[in-house]
Amino acid sequence: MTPEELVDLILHESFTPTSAMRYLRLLKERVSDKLFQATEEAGQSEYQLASVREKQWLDNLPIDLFNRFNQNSLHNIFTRAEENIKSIQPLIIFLAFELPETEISTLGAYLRQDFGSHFLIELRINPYLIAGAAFSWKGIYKDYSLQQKISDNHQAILKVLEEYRHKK
Amino acid sequence: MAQKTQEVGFVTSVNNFLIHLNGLPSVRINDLIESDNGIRAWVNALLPDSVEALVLDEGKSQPGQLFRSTGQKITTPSGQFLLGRAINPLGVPIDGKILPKESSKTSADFDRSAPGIKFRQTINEQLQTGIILVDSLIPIGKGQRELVIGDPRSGKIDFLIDVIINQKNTGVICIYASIGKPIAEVRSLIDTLRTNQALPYTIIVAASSSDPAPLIFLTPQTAFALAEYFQTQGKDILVILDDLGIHAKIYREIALLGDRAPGRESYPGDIFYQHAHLLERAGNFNPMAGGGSITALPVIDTNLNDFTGFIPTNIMAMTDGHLLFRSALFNQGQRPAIDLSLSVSRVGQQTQNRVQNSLATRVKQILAEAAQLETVSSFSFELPYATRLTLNQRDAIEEMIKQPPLTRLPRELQIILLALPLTNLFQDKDKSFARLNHGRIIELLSTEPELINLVREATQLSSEDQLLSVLQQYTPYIASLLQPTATTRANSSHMKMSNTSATIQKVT
Repeated sequence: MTPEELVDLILHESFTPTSAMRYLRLLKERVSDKLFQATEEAGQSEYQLASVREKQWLDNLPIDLFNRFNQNSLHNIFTRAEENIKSIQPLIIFLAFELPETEISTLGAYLRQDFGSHFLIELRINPYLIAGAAFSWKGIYKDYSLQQKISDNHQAILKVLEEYRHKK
Repeated sequence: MAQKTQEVGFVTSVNNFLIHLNGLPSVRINDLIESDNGIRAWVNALLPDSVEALVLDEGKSQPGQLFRSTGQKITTPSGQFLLGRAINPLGVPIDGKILPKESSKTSADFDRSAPGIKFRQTINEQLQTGIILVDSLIPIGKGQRELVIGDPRSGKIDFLIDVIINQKNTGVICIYASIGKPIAEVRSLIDTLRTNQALPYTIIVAASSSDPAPLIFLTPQTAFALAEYFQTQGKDILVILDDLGIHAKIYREIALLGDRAPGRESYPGDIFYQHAHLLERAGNFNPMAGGGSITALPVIDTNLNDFTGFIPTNIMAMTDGHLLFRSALFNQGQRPAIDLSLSVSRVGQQTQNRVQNSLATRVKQILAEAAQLETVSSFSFELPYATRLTLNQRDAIEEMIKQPPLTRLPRELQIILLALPLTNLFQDKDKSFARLNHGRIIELLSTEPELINLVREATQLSSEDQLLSVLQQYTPYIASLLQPTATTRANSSHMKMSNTSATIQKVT
């Protein structure tokens, strides 16, 4: 297996840099177990911490996938795959609330339709945004949040509120 | 839809005050970036995969923290309103008062490149320090860079304060950069300058030892930025950088944190560049660059008289001379405690008038000759007349160039005082005669109508020989005025220094 193929496999399931790295570690642990005959206790640390979805993915991997690694190439392939994933610049999305994992997958899959299969997103929470979202892509930040809209129309909003107060 | 576009970067690593960020695609060196909670950082280096910045404010940075580009270079407010004020390197007042509204209108660039040769002219005017030893024997020109080097507690700061105070009514603006000194020292400096009415033409730029290292590092840059602002208006500026040894250490700290390869004494390879880049901003400028001049007096504290360290020799190489202060001389009571034999001014002589220049050469010759004869004299009871004369002249000169702190001697008076030991006034007199009469001579030269005329004409004479022949005619008269005073004062030698000080103050 080449590092590129491994990255494709990992990114098929993961949409954020954090989850991609977690999938990579899980797979590395499982492959190491198979190749180096590790004891059961030794090789289960990452697996025990994995989510249901991650465990399902790992358990359903085809058997012949493990045959494509050998003791000599394992470390090199995983290191290069890790570097590959780290070099992907994610789109950082600032939201006022936390998205459920399924929504992250839906959003990630949707964006990949336009930006390619190696596209990653990173979600950050900023309650001050109130609603809407802000994005940062390769150091450029664009704010489409309600907070920004309010601050842009600060005077107009104050005027409306003032008029409303006088009417009452 | 509302939309606001900005450049941002995310902190990837934090190492004390040094942070690395990704993003900020078009940021440049010396740009200012700011986090959401108001922490400012200064872009120090653009690395292949990240941006290195130095945090200027107190506060915690952490990985993932967002910094926005402000689109501004790091600058400091500048203007006349800063005269008499004490600010930190970012222009924030540290004297408890606020800056006026106009302060936001003008700002000076921290890291301006020094004007080239096309914009410079020969240094031809002397910076009058009012101190006889310096003005006569190691003169400093306006636009010169003169290193002030010496042991701790050897009177360097007292000397520099005197120089600032003596610029009163000369039109020279003084900028004192206090680099990483204790805050108590800065306060004491402000108080001294205020007490001596020297604050109205002085700006103090200070980052104390408790401030973040990047802020301390920027102190001399701010001082020069302000100096350039006034220089482009045709004014003469005196910049004191106290001291560049601390500045070098702070830069070493920054460079080591930033993983730069350490060189000699662990300083980074570009430490020479940093200081040379700074000091070449001083000079005497022609009208194309706004006229005016920037005289720089960088200070270095040495350790146990060792001035051969890496940083002191670096700065000696990039300045036009140095004044070497010795704590031994200071403890012997010599003020200023400058070691004349090891101090030099490579530019100042060209700013002196002919009489002053030739007189200085003659005096230096006598001092050098006396130093050679000193060893011989200690082995012999009966010395030849010529040797005794030289040694007597040396003693008299040494007394004449002593000057108490907070005093100023006008140039004309300096010339006469330095020439008197070469006349027969001090012939066959021992050292105590010069010591006891020093103050009295200054008083006579300033109050006796006949002598006032002599002093007034001193600078108009064409040569030192002419001066000495004129002076010889007056020596009997001066001696007659001194005689009674000398005998009555002979028993009160402890009053000598205070008398001289009081006399000079009265004169000036």
